[in-house]
Formats: sequence, C-alpha cells, structure tokens
Amino acid sequence: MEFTVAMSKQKIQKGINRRSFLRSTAAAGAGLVLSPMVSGQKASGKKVDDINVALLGAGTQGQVLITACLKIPGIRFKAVCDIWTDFNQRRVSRLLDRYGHELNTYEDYQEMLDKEKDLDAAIVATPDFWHADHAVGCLKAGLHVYCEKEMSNTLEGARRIVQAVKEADKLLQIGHQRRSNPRYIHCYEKLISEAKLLGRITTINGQWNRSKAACQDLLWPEKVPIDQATLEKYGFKSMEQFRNWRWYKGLGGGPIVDLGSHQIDIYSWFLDANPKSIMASGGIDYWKEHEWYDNVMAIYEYETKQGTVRAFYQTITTNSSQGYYETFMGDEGTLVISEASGRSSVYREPSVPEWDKWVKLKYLSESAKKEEASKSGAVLDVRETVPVAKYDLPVRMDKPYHQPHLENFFDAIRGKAELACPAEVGYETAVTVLKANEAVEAARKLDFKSEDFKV
Amino acid sequence: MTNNKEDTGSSVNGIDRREFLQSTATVGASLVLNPAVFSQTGGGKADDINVALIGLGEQCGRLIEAILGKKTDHQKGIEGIRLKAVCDIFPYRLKYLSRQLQRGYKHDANPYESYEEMLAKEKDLDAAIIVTPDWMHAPMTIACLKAGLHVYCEKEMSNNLEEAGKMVQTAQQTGKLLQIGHQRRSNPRYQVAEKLIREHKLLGKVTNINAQWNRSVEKHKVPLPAEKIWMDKAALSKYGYGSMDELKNWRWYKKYGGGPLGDLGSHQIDVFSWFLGDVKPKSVLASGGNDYYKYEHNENVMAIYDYQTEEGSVRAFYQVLNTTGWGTYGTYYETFMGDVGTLLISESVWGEDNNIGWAFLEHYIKETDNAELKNAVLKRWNDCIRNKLIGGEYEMSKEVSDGSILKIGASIPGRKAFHYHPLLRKLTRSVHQPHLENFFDAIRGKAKLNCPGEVGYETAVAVLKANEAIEEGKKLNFKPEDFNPPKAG
Repeated sequence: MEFTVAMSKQKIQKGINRRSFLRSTAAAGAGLVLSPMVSGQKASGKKVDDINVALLGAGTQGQVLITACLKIPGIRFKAVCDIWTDFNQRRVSRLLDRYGHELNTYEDYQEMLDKEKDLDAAIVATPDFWHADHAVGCLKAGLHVYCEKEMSNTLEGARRIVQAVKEADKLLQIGHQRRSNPRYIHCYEKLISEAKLLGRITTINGQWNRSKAACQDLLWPEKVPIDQATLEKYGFKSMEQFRNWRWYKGLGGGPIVDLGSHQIDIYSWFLDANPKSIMASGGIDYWKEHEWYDNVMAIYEYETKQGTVRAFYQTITTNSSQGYYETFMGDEGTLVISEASGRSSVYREPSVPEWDKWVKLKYLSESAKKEEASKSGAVLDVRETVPVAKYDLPVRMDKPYHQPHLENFFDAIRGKAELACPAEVGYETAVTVLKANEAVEAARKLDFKSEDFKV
Repeated sequence: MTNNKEDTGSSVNGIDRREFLQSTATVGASLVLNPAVFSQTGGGKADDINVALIGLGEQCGRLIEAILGKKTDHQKGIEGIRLKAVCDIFPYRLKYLSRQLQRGYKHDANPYESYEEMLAKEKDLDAAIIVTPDWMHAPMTIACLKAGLHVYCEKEMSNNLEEAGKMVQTAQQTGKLLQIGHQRRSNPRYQVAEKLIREHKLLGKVTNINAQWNRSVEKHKVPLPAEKIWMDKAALSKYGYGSMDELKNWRWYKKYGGGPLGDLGSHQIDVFSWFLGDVKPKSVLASGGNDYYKYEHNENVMAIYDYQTEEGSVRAFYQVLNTTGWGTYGTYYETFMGDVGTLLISESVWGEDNNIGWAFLEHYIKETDNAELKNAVLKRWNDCIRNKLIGGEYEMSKEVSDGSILKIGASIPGRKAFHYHPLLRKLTRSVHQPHLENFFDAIRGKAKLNCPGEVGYETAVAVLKANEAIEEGKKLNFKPEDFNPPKAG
C-alpha cells in the first residue's frame, strides 16, 4: 500500500477532476455522445473517463461480473469488500492484482465507503437481503450502483433503493442482464415491435430446469471458515447459511426469485406490460431441509393492447430437461430464446405467408439446419412432420453474458447511453416476481394493481 | 363357462352368438379362447361382433378406418367386426357413410336417424360405438347398455359429472362393458413408457410433468359443409342444436362439450394419473380465457395439477392453445421429469415410422463421483437397452444423415447436455385401433378393458374441475371420494 499512499495526493487531484467530469456526463437521460478524443490521456496512462469501481460481494456472482469487467476498457477496481476475507476476498484481490488493479480490501462496506474517496461506482453482488443497505449506502456516498437482481428480497428494501436513487441523483442499474443482450434487443425491437412477426402474442412459456446435481448445497473449505461472530454480525446463523443463503427465508427468495426473475423480467419487457394477476403452485418437495420452494409453477396473466396473454413459468431443481429458455407464442409465429448462446429460433405458423422479406432485411436468417436436412435428401412425411417453418436469429452474442449490461452501465456513467434496467424497471420486476412466493402461500389468484408497480 | 362347448357345437345363429359373447365378456375374465373352436357359418364366426356406430362425424371416420382398415395406407382392420347399423341426425352424413361402408368395405349397415329407433329395431347388435357430441354420451350410452349392448364411448365421457356417474352405474347394473375412448391406454408405446417409469424406474423419482396441445388458428374449427346440404332449423332444433355451426363445432359450446381442455386435455391428463401409478390429483389451479375468438369455451387454458405419490410431490403443467400450433416436438406431447431422467412421448408420428418418444438421462449421472448411484442408474438404463425398450445412446453424428431425427434433435435447446435414447416400440397402425381391439377382446373374454367407465370417470373429474378452477380463481382441492361415481340409489 506504500505505493498507493505516495501516489495519493496526485490521485486525489486527478480523481476530483475525473469524478466531476463523469458527474457532468452521467446526467440521467443525457443524449450526449462523447468523442473519445475529448478525454485526453494523462501521463499515468489513465483516461479522464476511466471509472473507479468497488466490488461488494466477491462470491461466485461477483467473480462472474469481474471477469466480464476485465474485458471492458477503462474500468479500474479500487476496492473489494467481502466478509469472507480468507477466501472470497483473497481470491478476488489476487485475481485483480494479476490484471494490474491497485485495490484495497474491506470486510465492512461502511468502512470502505468512509475510506475510499475516489470511487465512482459500486457493483453490488451480495446476498439479496443486503442489497438495499449496500445500494443505498453507496448511492448516499455519491456512487453509481450496479446491483444484482433480485433488487431486494423485500419490496420495502426495493423501495428504499428507488427512493435513494432519486435523492442521490445517481445511476442505478439492476442486473437483469438480458436487457442489454443484443440478441434479446433484436428480438424485442426488430421482430416483436417493428416487424410484429409473432402477430398477436397470446402465450408465453418459460422455464429454468436444473438438475439435482446443480442444486446440491454449497460447501466450503473447512480450513477457512468465517468466524461465528462475524457471520452473526452480518446476519448469517452459520457458514452453511452464508453459503446457501438463496434457500433461506429472510435472506433470499428461492429459485423462483433467483432464476425466475431474469426470465419473468423479459415477459414484461417484450409485452410492454406488467402482469395483472398471478397464481402459483410450489412446495418444498424434494430438498426437505430447505426453507424456500424447490419446485414452482406460476401462471401470470397480462392485459396488453392486443389482448390477454397467459404466461407460464416453471423452475425445478430435480431435472434439467431442456434447460432454460423463454418462448413467446403468437397467432403468426413463435420465438424461442435463451440466454445460452445459439439457442434461439423463430417459427412461422402454417397459415402465414413466407418471411422472405425479413430474411432479406436480415431480421431473420434461414435455418442452417433446414438446408442441411434438404441436402441430405431426407424427405419427411408432411402430415405432422414439420408443423411450422423454422428461422434463426442473425445476431450473435459472443461476450460473457453480463458484459453488455455492465458496458451499458459504464456507458451511462459516461453519458453515452441510457440505462437498460434502471431502478424503476428493477422494482417492477421485483413486485412481479416476489408475488409468486406469496401466491404459492395463498393458493389463489392474486391481483396486481397498476399502483403496485410504482414507488 | 361350462356351457361353452355346447354353444360352439350348436349351429351359429345370432342368438347363440350373442349368448356366447355375453358369457365371455364377464369383467375380469382371464379365459383365453382358441379361435379354432368356432365353426364358421354363413361367413360369420361365433365370436363375430355386431356393431352399431352412433355419430358419424369427423372422429367416426378415424374409428371406421381403425376398425375396417385403410386401403390407401395398407392398414389392416380388426377381424370379426360387422357394422350392422349406423346412426346420425345429419341425413347427408348418414347417407354418405352407409354408402361408403357398403362400397368400400361391403358392410351392410342399416341407417337410422334416431338411436332409440335403432335400438328398438336392431335385435342382433352386440356393441355400440358412440362418437357423438359429449352431451349425448350419457343418454346414448345408458340406453345402449340397457338394451344389452357393450359400449365404446368416446371421451370426454360426458360434459356433466352427474351424467358420467350414471353411465358408470348403468354399466355396473347391466353387467355390460363400457370402454371410454382414452386410446393412449391401449397404445403399446404408452404401455411400454408406463413400464419404463413405473417398473424400470428409468426416471428415478418423478417430480414434474409438462404437457401441451398447441393448435394453430387455422385448425381451431371444423369447416361447415356446403350450405345446400345443411339441416334446416326445425330438424336441428329437434335434436337440441341451434345452428349448423353448433352441430359441427359443438366442441366450442358449453351445452355440448367441455371445450378444448376437455377435448384434448383429457387424453393427456388421463396419462398423468396413469403413469404416476393411478394416482389422482390432489388439487388444480387454472387460468383460461376466450378473448381471442369470443366463443363460449376458453380457447387457451393453462392448468397446474398437484399430485402426491408414494415417492413424494409431483407438479404437472398442462396447456392447451388454439392460437399457436408450435411445439418443440410437434404440437402435442407429454413430458415426465424425474431426478435421473426425462421421458417424452407423443401419440403423434413424425413420418411413417417415426413415433415421437425419447428418454433422456440426466447428464450428472455420467459424471458423478457417487459410484453406487451411477452404477445403479446405468444398470437400469442398460437393462432397458438390452431388453430393447429403449435404444442405445443417440449419437449426434447421426443427425446429419438422418433428416427425421435431425428435426427432432435440432429444436431441443441445450441438447448436448442430454443423453438421448429413442423409445423403440413403434405404432404404425391407427392410434385408435389397439383401444378398439382391447374393447372387442374384452367382449370376447380375452382381455380386460384398459379404460373402463370407472377410470374414464376419474379422468372426467380431474379435467372438468380445471374449468371450475378457472371460474373460481383459486386452487381447488380434490377429496379421494370425488373420484368415485355416486352409488346407484
């Protein structure tokens, strides 16, 4: 840290200029597009629009986000905060060290915010029940925040975040990263909104089926536990609970919130609507030692301009059949898309005229599989064989899944983009998703009022 | 059964034949007859079955092909079935069908407009096949049973549970056989699949079921015939119909049927219970609406059934659509998911011999360090492979050379994570033929019914409750006694 101290005076000077620069550019909704030439390069090799970032929560998800950030130019990690000092914290600081990031490590986020005066942004990847405190703390300290979903495990917590964003006038991005994925954006903007290829959407199916093996409780190296006092200080009863917080009431929301929220968020996005009701069935069916439901099936009803839409979502923890995807069904076509790369297809209903025009316009591409099949000379019985014609998406996404969403966040800080998933949107999704657990309990259809989605 | 010998020794006339069939059709009889016992007289064998067809619409066409065969497809019919009477209120259809039976199959079936008249006049009938709109199932079935006939009645058994209960009671009282047309119960492919799940435990513990029947807009209604042959208002109203559309598209009207859920869903929801070991659901939750077509019945329905089996909880999702025909594996199929594998099956065929049916092994089984688990599971799967119930693991390289498989494999997201094994049992005949055969075999004392009235009733209870659940907007619980038809009072 000697090096850091020696550099501090110069850095503070530079930092302020840089921070005030970023502040002036990050005005929400600013349409300003900066030419990279404007921000001249300083002697140290740092640009004026470099962004100093702190990571809160250096667990698995935090590491996923860091890995994506390391591919984005101009991001400097300055601090890492995690209560598991001997494992998460150490592992991540070593990794960042290898990439030349000069950073300080913290167990306590308050201490970090008190000491680190040159931060621009924080990435919050802690357990859900900490999101509100962490995001609000960072916003109040003047940082822009990228906060993982679920925004919070309680609506009260999510509301606190939305309020804090307004008061601090800072940016807050919720980690529904599909909102920045060019494949998803293409589907929404080009296929659904513009070309209306699906016709009237009436039905959505989505699922995240995970195998039993992928749902085993997480263990930890016995040599490096967190001591009991520290665990309790941060709201965990045990190391087991710390590692498996997603399964505990009061800490997380179970798989429906964890996995479902990503996909149910897309339902509302693609439909331009929030649901009007939900019913759900679920239970602690298989993993008897858990507190949250391991098996949930939910049906949402939406009222869109075109009419009623019914949307099914399922998350199961005992079988991986067909993995995870979302399917949008309309009277003219069907879109199947998954975040997993390469898994997307568009199908034309039998009565709908050819989509050649859209292929020419590069909205769709001819299915490669179709060509292969015809080349091989296999002729199929047409009675029921090929019910619908298949097309592919012409858009690829080869980056790590989270990279475009983080890029969008940093671009918004630089005034180059609007947030793809600001607090208000994250809140709407939290309202939608958290209700599923309530609906399981209630065993009846629960209605949403439009004011439920507003803070 | 002691008088069997006397019967077969006497000259075969209609009455002897009927007595013979009557004596053999005792429910549960395990007697296996040697066909050689019967002497042939006048082209008819002692165990020939005289059948009346009631209701000559679209579905009846399929059943006729199943019974008498289909020359264009080189499909053989069922031996020893004589169609003696046909009945339909639509004169055009009646004339057309009886002429077709005469010309195409050399069956002289007497045509009737009224089933009551038919029962009064036809004294040599053994069985009736009822393929009318759901609301007529109960009165027709009950009348036929009382007239001494065995009955094959299409599903849904009835659109009214009370009526369905009376059908079961009448079958019990008359001692006649009543088979409900959930034909998957007799489909050898489904029978193997049931064994794979129940006996061979191929999926481990079953935790979830998904099934769907997605139908595209163009398929949702039956086109009406040319107007010049329509029945007039008076003739329609005599039989309770307000219009030709009500008669032809009765499935969309509440008075006549149970809607798409009853129509299509009942086949598949029936399989849920069957494959779980005849376990009835304990609750249902459902959403549905008719805002697309604005017909009386909901065009799209989603339902979630909860089951409690000996192994634990099972949650099942069912969806029927009439606005989209897409599906990963054709448009209709059922998927059973367990903690070591998945079984997907559809009654549908993709191509001549390409029945849709796969078993997928969960990927982790191949990689687990738990040798005991791995060996136990792989042994079960390998036994099934050795016994030719499922094929060996499907190789991806085959995909390119085999277009038919390609189509199936290509549309499965994440297919690399799966280990596919095709179900090997094929059914290339009409999907209805095995179920009708089972019915006729039961009449001849050679088989037990695969879907007797009691089973059809249980399925009707499960399915019709979903419509109720939509109205109520809450989870509705079933009590075990709900599935028992009320006793005759």
